[in-house]
Amino acid sequence: MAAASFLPLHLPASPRLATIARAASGVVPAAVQTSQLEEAFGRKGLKFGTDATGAPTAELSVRNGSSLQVRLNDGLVTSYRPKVYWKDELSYREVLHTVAGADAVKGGVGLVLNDASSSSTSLLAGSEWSVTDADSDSYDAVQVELGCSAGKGGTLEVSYVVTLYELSMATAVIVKNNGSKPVELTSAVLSHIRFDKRRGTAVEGFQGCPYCSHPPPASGFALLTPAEAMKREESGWFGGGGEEPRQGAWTVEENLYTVLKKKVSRVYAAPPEERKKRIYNTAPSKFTTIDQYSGLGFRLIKMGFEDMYLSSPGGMYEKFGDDYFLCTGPASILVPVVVGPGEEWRGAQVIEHDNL
Amino acid sequence: MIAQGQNKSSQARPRTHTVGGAVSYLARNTSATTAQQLAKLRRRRQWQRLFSSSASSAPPRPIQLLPAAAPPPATRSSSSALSICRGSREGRRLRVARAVETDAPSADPEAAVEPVEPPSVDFAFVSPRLLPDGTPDVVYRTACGGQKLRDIMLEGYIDLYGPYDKPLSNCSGGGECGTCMVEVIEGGEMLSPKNEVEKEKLRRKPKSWRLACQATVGKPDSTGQMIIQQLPEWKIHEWEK
Repeated sequence: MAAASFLPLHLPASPRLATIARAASGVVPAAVQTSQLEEAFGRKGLKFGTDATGAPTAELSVRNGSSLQVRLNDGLVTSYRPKVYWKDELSYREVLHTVAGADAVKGGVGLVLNDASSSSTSLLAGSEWSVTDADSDSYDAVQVELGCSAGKGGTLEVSYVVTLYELSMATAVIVKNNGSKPVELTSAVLSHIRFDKRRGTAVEGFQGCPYCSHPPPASGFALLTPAEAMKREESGWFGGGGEEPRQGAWTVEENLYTVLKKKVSRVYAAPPEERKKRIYNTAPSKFTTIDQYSGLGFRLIKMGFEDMYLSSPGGMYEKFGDDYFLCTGPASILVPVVVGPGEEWRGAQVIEHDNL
Repeated sequence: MIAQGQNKSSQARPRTHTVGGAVSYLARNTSATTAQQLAKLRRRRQWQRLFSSSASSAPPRPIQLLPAAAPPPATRSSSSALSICRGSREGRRLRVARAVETDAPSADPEAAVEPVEPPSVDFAFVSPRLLPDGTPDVVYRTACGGQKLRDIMLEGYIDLYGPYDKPLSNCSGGGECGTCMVEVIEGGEMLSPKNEVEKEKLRRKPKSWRLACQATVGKPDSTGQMIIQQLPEWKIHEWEK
């Protein structure tokens, strides 16, 4: 009984669960789908329902009140509300920035998985996600796993695991190549983090790390398209600091705090030419966001990915609501990841905080 | 849940060399640990299971922290560097229960036409906190020998001082404050011997700990590899001897 009660993730799938999961992804009415999911996977801390647009969602919650909502048809995390100590009281603060679009919510934390060899088409477009597993220890941790088959002919098996803990949330992606040919992927986990004001937004942790201007990978849920993200902004009256480097030119971050008032779209990583050397200076694995007005900071940790993408909308944030936001997260976009036949690749992102 | 943690039924020798062992040891024998810390440790252990491969019953695999050493120039100061990366059993490695094997930066030991690089020392700096999946948080750097370890770490923006990083919280290399302690896991023979200041400050600390501001890394033409543990007072894992 002293062992942690987290069950091994890969339980043998009973036939009943498997058929319900397959049926859930077909053209079943949402209410029936929800009740089937609830029956198969519902447990303390994990509820299934529908959001305002009618898409099926899962809501994860832990004992201290932190909660997380994930949309099941594409794995987008639409809400993360941890319990934080803010303005001298315990309250819940929404960390992610979402915008209700015409047909679906955009923003949040989402997975981007593109095929590097054929003009960056998304490997996930048209795939149907289904809930394959759920796990919780009833107090402090809840986990839900979504799976889908991606790529040409469904040769890639993609699992997306979303976990909620007391002080953090984690998203992990596992890609298994069941085909006979190697696959080149560019992948990223992009999170849209909300800030109170544009002036007080900064990140810390990139000092000494080289970066270059780079567009984000194309995705369906991001608020700024790659072209919009790279568009230069007119600098204001005071110039706003140094010029942003041209795409492809590498500079080293000198400041301890990277203030993100103006519009940037950068990738922080070791340059690909450096990576060919026998030993090279590796990039940091985590950074902290700083919001001067709310005083809360969130740490983003990358595992399995090589680069860290960071962008701020600058003046364009007004198109997407009142709050300022950053689109950031671990990525492997400069050098594609090659997954051979029969091989597996894993990457994860953790957003954690100490604001308690 | 707390009662579960304080179950003293098994009095096995504490296996603190794995994080999982440390979790259950602390859970059994520490009454001062708060519920929150216990939950944090349990969470960390859950994470290892998240990333455990299907062959999780296999013994934990040691992690290669450094790539193959640079091809040795004519005059080599240290001959033990090669033993780290050749898979020798006596090399020290960090053993973490059910960890994912990490990739060292791509190495090419058989390259016969490798261009001659200037002599430099490779470093692997390990953070005191593991990543959430249980693997060590390592950063790699390369530097010329002959400098103090503190200078190499500060130029590479490695966290040397931890909470004592603020402007007047440390003595900036004077050998007076004792806050720049690091633990040397591998490659300690390349460092200069401990001077009187170090011996005084590190009297009650383990033998592998050094003051980074007093330790010089070899000579300007040395090559070799070192694994340094940052902030050893705050580390939560144990290195296997």
